[in-house]
Amino acid sequence: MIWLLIRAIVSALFIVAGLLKLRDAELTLISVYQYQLMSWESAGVLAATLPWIEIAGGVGIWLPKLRLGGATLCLGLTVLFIAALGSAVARDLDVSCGCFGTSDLHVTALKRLGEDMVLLVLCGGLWRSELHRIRAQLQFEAETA
Amino acid sequence: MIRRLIKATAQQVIILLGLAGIPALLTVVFDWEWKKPAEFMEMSATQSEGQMEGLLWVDVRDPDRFEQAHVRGAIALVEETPGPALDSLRERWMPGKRIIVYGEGSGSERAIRAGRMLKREFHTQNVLLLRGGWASWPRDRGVESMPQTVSPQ
Repeated sequence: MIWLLIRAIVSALFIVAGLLKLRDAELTLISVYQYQLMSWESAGVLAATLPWIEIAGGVGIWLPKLRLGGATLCLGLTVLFIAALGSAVARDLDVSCGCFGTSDLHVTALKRLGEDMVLLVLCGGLWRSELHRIRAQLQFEAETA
Repeated sequence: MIRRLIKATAQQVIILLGLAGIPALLTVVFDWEWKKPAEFMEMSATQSEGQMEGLLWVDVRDPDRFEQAHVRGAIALVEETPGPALDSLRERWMPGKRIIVYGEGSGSERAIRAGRMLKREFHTQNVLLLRGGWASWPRDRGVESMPQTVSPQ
């Protein structure tokens, strides 16, 4: 039951974040670029790709055959966000995250980093539970083969 | 077992990335937005609607034009004496707030020069240009005509 709730929260967060990024592609591009980690063109490609990966991760964790993949994507993206935000904080950059479109323009990078840590725990837990499930499944298949 | 687990995970991730890759590829190929010049992004008057609180407006037109009418809350920045406007901006600016600069029309060189200076002064990339400049601003929306020019010290 608890995993169902966690899955719903993680899934909703990633799907909503992806949709908001798609709604305002220009802002997403600026948000990616302002981290000053890549060229404008690379930021453009990432800004066009990232929302779809977020949505794929959010949807994937509901599909029985892709749950582990979805959880892995969500976990990987969260680690990526934390690394990017951490590097921005370390370089004292003015970033507004842009994770949830225009609604978080006033959220400081440090606060967002804290929220991402919570998300990391949720995604990590979800990923671990899916890993156990798949392992049990593979073990069962090996025993019955 | 570990190898099979890694294989299963990788297979699922590749399938999901493949599914995400199709619309992403279409966006990259057909959406030319990201190929714009890197220096400044533009925001239209319509896009600014509903997020006025997160925006700081900078008007770089001639002071008399500013006094006639300007975007509500805008700060007049006079190119030759930018100090007072910068001080006023510093009081109102905070990380995350976006600065939008506008001149008379689209591609205003004065706006671009001011934008460069603001990026430098505030160490931020959050400086945008108003698409179409003042000419594109709807006259029935957020216009002030009271003098707001910051006097040179």
